[in-house]
Parts: sequence; C-alpha cells; structure tokens
Amino acid sequence: MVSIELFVLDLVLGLLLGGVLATLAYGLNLIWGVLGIVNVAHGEFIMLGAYIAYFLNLFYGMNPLISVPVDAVVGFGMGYLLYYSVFHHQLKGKETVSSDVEVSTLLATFGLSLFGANLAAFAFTPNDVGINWSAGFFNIGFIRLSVASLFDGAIAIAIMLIVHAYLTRTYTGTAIRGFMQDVTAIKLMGINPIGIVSLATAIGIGLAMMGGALITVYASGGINPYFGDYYAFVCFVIIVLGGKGKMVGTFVGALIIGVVTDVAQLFVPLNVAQAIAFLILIPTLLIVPEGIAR
Amino acid sequence: MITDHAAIKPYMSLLPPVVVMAVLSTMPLFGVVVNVYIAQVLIFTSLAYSLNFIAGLAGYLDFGHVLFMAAGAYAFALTLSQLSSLPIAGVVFGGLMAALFAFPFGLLTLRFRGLIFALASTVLALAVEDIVTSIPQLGQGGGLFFSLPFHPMELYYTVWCLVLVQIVLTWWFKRGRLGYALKTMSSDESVAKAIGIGTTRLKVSILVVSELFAGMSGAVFTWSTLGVHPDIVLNLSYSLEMLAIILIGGMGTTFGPLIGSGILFLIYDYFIASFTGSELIFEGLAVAVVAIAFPGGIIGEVKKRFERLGEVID
Repeated sequence: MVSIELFVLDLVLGLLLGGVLATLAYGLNLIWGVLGIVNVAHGEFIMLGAYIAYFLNLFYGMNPLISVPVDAVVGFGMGYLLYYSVFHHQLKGKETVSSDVEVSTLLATFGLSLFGANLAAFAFTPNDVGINWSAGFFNIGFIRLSVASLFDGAIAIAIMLIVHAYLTRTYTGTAIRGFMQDVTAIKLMGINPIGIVSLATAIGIGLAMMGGALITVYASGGINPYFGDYYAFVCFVIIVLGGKGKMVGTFVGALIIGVVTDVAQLFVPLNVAQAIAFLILIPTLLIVPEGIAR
Repeated sequence: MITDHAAIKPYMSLLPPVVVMAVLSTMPLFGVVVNVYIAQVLIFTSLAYSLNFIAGLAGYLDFGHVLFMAAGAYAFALTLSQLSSLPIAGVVFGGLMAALFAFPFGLLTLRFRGLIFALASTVLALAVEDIVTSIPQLGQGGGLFFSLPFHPMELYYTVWCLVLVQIVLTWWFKRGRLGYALKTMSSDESVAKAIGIGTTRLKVSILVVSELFAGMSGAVFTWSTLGVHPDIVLNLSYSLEMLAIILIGGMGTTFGPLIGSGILFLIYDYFIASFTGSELIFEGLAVAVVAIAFPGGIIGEVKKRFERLGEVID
C-alpha cells in the first residue's frame, strides 16, 4: 500500500508538472487553433529550448529558470522562421485548411521533426545530459518539496497568465482569438491575416521553447535530442482532452495529465504510467471529442 | 476519355514495376553481397507498399504502422525461438498476428479522420511501445533473439514475392469500382458515404490488408536481423522511413514505392559512406521539402510534366 504522504507529494508534483505541460501544450494549441495545422516538430523546439538552458548552464552557470527569457526571444524568432519557411507557402490566400494541406503540413513537420532531432544528435551527441542545478528543499507539513520544482511551476503559471492577459486584453491578442473563430470577419476588420498567423506561430514556438527550459527540472533521465517527442505527443493528448484552441481547457487537461502520470508511477512502472497518459486520448475522443472545456 | 489504346491501357501501368521486379529477380546471381543488400532494399520496399494501401489509397496517414511491423517481428521471433524452425511459417504467422491486431485497432481509430487519426495512431503506437517493454515474455526492453542457418536465397525470394504480390494488389485496388470508391473516400469521406459507399467496411478491410503485409514484412525484417528489439522495431522513425519512401515515389501509386525506396537507399548509401549517422537528417529534410514542394512525389511530377508518359506510369 502506498503511504498517504507519497500520494499527496505526487499529487502536488503532478500539479506543478501540469503547469509546465500547460505551457508546452498551449504553444502547440495556439498554432493548431489559429493555423489549423498540427506542428509535429513541436517536440524538437522543446528539445532546443532545453538545450539552450543546458548550454547556458554549462558555459555561464545560469540556472534553467533564468534562461527562460533567452528561450522566449530565440523561440519567437524560430517561430517566424518556421512560419515563413514551411507554413506560408501552404496557407497563403486560403481561408480554411483543406485536407490535402493538412496532410502535407503534417508530413512536412514530421520530416522537420526527424531533421531537427537528428541534427541535434549530430551536433550535441545523442547522450543524455543533465543540468547541474539544485536549489535545495523545504518542508510544508510532511511534504518535502524541491524549491526548483516549485519555482518552475510558479514561472509556468506566470507565463500562462501573461499569455492569457495578452490574448484577452490587447488588440493583437484579441485578433488572434478572433482568427480562431472567423477568418472572414477578421479580414473585414482590416487585420492582416498573415501578420496574425505568423505572430501566433512565433508565440507558440516561444512557449514551446520556454517550456523546454522549464521541463529540464522534471526530466529525470536528463535531456537528449529525442526527448522532446514524448512531450510533444503528451501535448497532443492534452489538447484533445482540453479542446482545440481553448486555453482553460489546455490548462485543466495539462493538470490532469500531470497528476495522472505522477500518481500512476506510484502503482505501476514508469513505462506503463506513460502509456496510461497516452491512452487517455482514446476514451476522450470517443466520449468528448470536442474536449472537456466548454 | 476513350482512345484507341483504351483496351490495353489499364495493364500498362503494371508493366514498369513488373519489369523492374523481373530485373531484380536475377540479382542473387551476382553474389551474396548483392543478394543481401537488395534484400534489405526490398524489405523496406515491401513495408512501404504495405503502408501505401492505407496511407496512399485510403488516405489515412497511419504513423502507427510500425506497430504492425513490430507485431509481425515479435510473432516471427516467438515462432522461431519456441515453435518451429521454418522461417516461412514465422512469416505467415507474423502476417496473421498483425492482421489480427489490425482489426480492433481499425475499428477504434478509423472512425477519426485526418489529423486526429494520424495522432491517435501515433499515440497508440507509443503506448504499445511502453507496454511491450514491460512484458517479460517479450523480453521486456531487451528483445528476443534466435539463430537460423544463413539462407539468403530463401529470404530474398520471400520478400521479392511479397513485393510483387503487393504491386499487383495495389494495381488491382486502383481499378474499377473499388478504385473509384477508394479515390472518393480519400478525397472526401462524407461524399463517399452519401453516395452509398460502405466506408467503414472499406477502410477497415484496407487497413487489415495493409497490416497483414506490414506484419509479413516485419517478420522478414526480423529474419534478416536474427532478433527483435523494441528500440528498433517499435521506433517511430521506421514509420517515417516508409512514409518517406511512398512520399518521394508518389503516394497511392503503383510504381512510386519502388522508385522511392531505390532513391532513398541511394541517398542512404551516399551519406553512410561519407558521414555516418547523418542519413536521417537528410531524409527528414527530403520529406519536408517533398511534402511542401512536390506533394505528388516523383510519379506526380512525371504525370504533370510528360503527358504521354503519365498515361503509362502510375
């Protein structure tokens, strides 16, 4: 029997992990919601963000939380690069994404994902590396938490709040949300659709890379060029669970997945816990295909 | 459009791949090295043709295809290590096992279309990988190994037959009522349903055929490597390799996968010879470029540029 302390500890850790997963998943969700295409190479941007955190730590001794702004800037640039190199050609002049564009962008980003992961393996060697950083522990009642994971979760939630404020309170943010609902209406308002779509891609990739820096604290086996794929596919499950384009849904979905993977590890091996996180997708699609959020 | 040569035209598209296969059938005469090498190419060609049924003809991008290659591979390894010493029995058993798994997989996932199907199949493959690596009878993460006498000829002609059968099947599926039904379904499934095509039956049957051959090809793959390891047979990058082959050759075409695998292996050999470990980088780049710039693949481009040739090649 698992003790109650362990259970509560894993519950808390799961919630904190969920915060980070929400950052990763919302980046993907924004691109999916606005552009209507799935970026399979999302995991490679997560990996790149993690490696930037690793190298900043290795060369300058920065802790991974400080590298978040660096990742944000690089990710923003990478997002524009991704949009203009891959998506622009497919999407320009189209109101909705047709099924053949869906397929071709899926294949293109899948190819890109393989390209990115193997290029990283070539450049950084395929070995696991870990970030040498610990901020100590503290106790709340009987729970012993690491300071790193607490700050990590707090920063993730702060990022989500900032993005939420941006999307609801500013002009461009509202335009992005409007784009998800009605492209024609947005055009009639005199908003440049290309500008909005490329901006959404840039923010999405920025979120992925910031999340990549944050996830290094939780990636227990260290980071390697292929580790992003697992998180990318967890993100897909979270988005389907929470609903495409919905922020609150993504957040709730991420918390659920975070708690499920962490708590399941108490009862079953790590592999099976990961499998459970993936398998949540199937009943979700069958029962609530639109996601749990309204 | 009915022309003079309408009577022979349907058979013409079968001619180029069959001629290539006839040439390939003589390859074992050039010694054991050529034999083993071409067998390797043919194994991937066979896997690509099997993916072509579901992804090319039915329009369902099955990233989880590698799952059925793995089912065939594990079934082959189990047969050879515990039941029989006849590889052909293992190949047949591998195919049947894969087809058996394909049926519930299809009923569950084929109800989703487009992106969601692609994601659901990938996620299921990842989940199965996690589960397989924790089952002791399947060697957990360590895999299963066995020994077999070296019979390159037997292996070569098994996989050669697999490819030939799949070429003929692809060509046959693209003809007549079945061909039109598949074409309609892959471009718009709601329309297909509305005009009275039993889409569920059609797509589940195509998936089962597709995975039957995936299982048999996976079994032959295991035969050539004398062992099965989850990191290899359950690696999603094999799904991509198969996709790369049919994408470069031309999705849903009869000749495409054969051309695609030829080209991919040429690229491979060039890069393995020059700098090892880089071949996947270029393969990923090739897939991205082809998907964006030439979605029809080589066959699609040929059809667009050379009208007369395009009538013969498909």
